[in-house]
Amino acid sequence: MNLSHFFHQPAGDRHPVPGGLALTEQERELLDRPAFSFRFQIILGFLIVFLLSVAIIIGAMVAVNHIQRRITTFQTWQRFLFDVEQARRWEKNFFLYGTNLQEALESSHEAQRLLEANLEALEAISGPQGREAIAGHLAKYHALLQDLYRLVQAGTLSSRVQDELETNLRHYGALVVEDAADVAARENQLVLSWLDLMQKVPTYYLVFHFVLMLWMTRFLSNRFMKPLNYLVKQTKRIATGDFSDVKPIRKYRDEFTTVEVAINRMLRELESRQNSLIDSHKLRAVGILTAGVAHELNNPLNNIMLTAHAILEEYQALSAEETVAMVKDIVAETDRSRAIVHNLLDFTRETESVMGPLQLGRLLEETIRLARNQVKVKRAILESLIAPDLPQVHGDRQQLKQAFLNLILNALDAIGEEGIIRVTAAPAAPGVLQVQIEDNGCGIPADALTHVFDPFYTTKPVGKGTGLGLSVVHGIVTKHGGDVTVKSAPGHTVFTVTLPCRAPVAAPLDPAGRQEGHRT
Amino acid sequence: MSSIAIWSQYGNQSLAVGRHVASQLGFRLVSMQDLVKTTAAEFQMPEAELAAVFKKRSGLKGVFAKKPSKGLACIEQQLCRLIAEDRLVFVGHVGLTLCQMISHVLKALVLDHPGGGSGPADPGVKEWFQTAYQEDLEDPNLYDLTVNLTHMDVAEAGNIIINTLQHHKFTPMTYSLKCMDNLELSGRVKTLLVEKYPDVAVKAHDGAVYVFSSGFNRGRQKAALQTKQTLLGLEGVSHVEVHGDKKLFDSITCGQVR
Amino acid sequence: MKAVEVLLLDDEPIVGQRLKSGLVKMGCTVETFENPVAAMARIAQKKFDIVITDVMMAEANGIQVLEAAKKLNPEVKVIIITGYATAELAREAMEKGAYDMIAKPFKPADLRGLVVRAMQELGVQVVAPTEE
Ligand SMILES: Nc1ncnc2c1ncn2[C@@H]1O[C@H](COP(=O)(O)OP(=O)(O)OP(=O)(O)O)[C@@H](O)[C@H]1O
Ligand SMILES: [Mg+2]
Repeated sequence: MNLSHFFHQPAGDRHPVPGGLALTEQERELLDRPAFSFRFQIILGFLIVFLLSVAIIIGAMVAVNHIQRRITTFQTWQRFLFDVEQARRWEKNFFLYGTNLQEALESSHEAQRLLEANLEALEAISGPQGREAIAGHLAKYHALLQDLYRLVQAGTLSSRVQDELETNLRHYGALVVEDAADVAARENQLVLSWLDLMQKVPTYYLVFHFVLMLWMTRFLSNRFMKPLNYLVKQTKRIATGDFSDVKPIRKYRDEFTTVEVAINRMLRELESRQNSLIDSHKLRAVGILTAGVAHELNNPLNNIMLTAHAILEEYQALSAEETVAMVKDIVAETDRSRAIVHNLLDFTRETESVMGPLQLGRLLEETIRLARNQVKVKRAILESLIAPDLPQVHGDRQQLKQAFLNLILNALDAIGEEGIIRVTAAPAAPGVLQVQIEDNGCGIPADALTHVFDPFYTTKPVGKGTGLGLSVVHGIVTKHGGDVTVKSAPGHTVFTVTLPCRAPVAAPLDPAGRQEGHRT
Repeated sequence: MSSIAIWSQYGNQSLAVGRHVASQLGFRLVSMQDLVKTTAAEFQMPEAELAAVFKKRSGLKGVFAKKPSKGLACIEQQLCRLIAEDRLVFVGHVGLTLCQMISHVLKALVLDHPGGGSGPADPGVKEWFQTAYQEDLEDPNLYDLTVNLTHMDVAEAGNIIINTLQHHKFTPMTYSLKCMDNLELSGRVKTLLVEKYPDVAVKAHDGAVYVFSSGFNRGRQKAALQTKQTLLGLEGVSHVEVHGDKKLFDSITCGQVR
Repeated sequence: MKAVEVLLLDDEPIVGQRLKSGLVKMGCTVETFENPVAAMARIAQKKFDIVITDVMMAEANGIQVLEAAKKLNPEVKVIIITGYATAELAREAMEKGAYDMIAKPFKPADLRGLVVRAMQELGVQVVAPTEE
């Protein structure tokens, strides 16, 4: 099997990325991680089990072989014991009947030969001392037999010598028999214990194998379930509108990395859709506001027109000071016109989404100024209760303006005669700012409350409402790590926006904040 | 005095209502056919070309046929002039935006049930209206008044319209007359330009004329300059701006474009 | 002959300043106001022939002034001047009895022309208004 298949594969051709687009830096980083795929993990697991089985079988074969040899050795010791006992029997016959000495010698010699041939095996069983002892005893016994035989042959065997030899022979003969029996018994014991082992090991192995398989199942399924559960959690998070990237939980690359890369790609696609949605809805708001601003401009324009005509008609009758005063009026009104247009232009200006520190109070005031004309046209009252010295929030000034503007425009659509809109901003908890936009308009029926943030949900006639306003608000606020909720009863509707904020800063960082937000 | 515009997809019956109203008030009655005829005479265009405006353009021929935008511009311009002449009862289905911008034009919708005296409705009219104005012809929100001939006869319907016209809100005033003048001027400019620049949009205000067409995009200064010169020669034009940028144009005219 | 009484209300002070002299020359007595509440109080005290009013003002709007003036004196000619002119506002004003409505920005002569017409309808002989 070619293991290199699992490692060091060039990332590009092994992971077909959806859309076939160029890889981004972050994707490349993810895909360049060392690969440790699930396929490899499974194969590795089964390989381990297989190798274990092989080892066990080899072990068993070795053991059987060993037992075979042990049995041979045992048989050798049995022969040895038999020879020694035979020698003793012949020896006894000699002392009783004076026969068989020759045979005794032969048997003892045979035993000695066997011992000689199996010295090493003997040492393995009885250790060097045991071997020395047996060899010594046997040698002594054999030597005594030979002495006896020589004396018998020479016919010089006195009964005193015979008695002495007999006692010695008995002594050593007994020792040798004892030793031989001992060796044979030991050998027997060994064989038995090996057989016992052979019986136990497969049983233990079965149990072990079972446990191993259980553990492997758990281990592998955990390895699958953990990233799966993680992905489920992540998709839930994404569903709430948080489009930040999914970060892989593992340090290496596996099949889930591909999924995560694909999800991240989808997220970026979603985010760019969301942004273009925000942009197009902003154009709509600008359209509404432009009409108001065009009307508002009519007042300074009228002043300029009237003053210019006054100069035209009466320049002969006017004193120099009066003329200068009138021209100054014209200049002042022109400045005023520019200021009116500037605020809207500032909002309209297409900017890259810039996140920066923001003064929420000022942002709200600018938003209210944007909507001022609409409020006038509706003949409504807009109260603002903005707590001074609010801590800064981190965000995109244009988008936040747009979110609050949408809420105010909705409130304006909802109110009737004697409409009142109240914008309040205050800290709600440590690190959280709360902006509420309340109105005394028609309210939202309970069954519609859950739908108002859905895209395309609208109760307004075609051409008046797209139903995207609140979904844009939700998108923007969520992007800023905040939350928007609504409570409504006929005559009182409250939209509450919470935004995370930085800890209150003592030093006035405001000018920097403005620059950040205004960058084009 | 004011004018009345009657919309309907039931040609015969609505014309009968219009005739009743016109004779009672002594107003001039203009039907769709009359409008096309007078437009043809006024702008020296063949009637067939004008009639093509309301033909359904289908199939391959429709795709390749020239868009009859000039015809529609001329017809609407003619309607604007007739309204300016005052005391008009118009029965038809053009000039919706025009009439919406002039507050002293009473807009009435005549409904009938399909089997009524007027015979079957002409579905082509509704379809045409939808494509031309992106509105439903029978959406009552578009009108000041809706009369339903299933519940009343022609004379009754006509009387309701006459009574409604007595409301002060349909009295012309400086502002609405000025709106009308502006519409007349922008319409005049549009009829001149629409053939060469099919996507032209025009807004006029007190002799100042703002023109948009993608044909005046950057790099086509000459066309823009030439147009400007031509327009400055028109009667009642004191100032001309020519734009090739739709966004800029929209923000100048804040969406009120004819 | 009794002078024509004109009340001119606009929260833009320049409007009053610039229009007053021209109207006075035509033989009107002109009172200018910037605050609609004060203007309404004055209308309640004194009978005006012509009321010229803006619409979008902070404390009250021109339509309310129109209604108040019409209620006290149905004969009064109310001229609406507004920067927020729309067909709807025009209809609302006319329905509530306005004499005329003119959109800002306008030329002073335009307004004077309206006032002349109103004065003629009131049966007043008019000094020819100055044309530019
Ligand atoms: N302050 C409010 N009071 C009562 N109803 C509201 C309020 N804000 C929103 N709604 C309801 O929620 C619906 C959805 O609002 P949303 O802003 O998403 O779309 P829209 O206002 O209809 O369209 P658009 O914002 O594009 O003009 C509205 O149609 C309206 O019925
Ligand atoms: Mg909305």
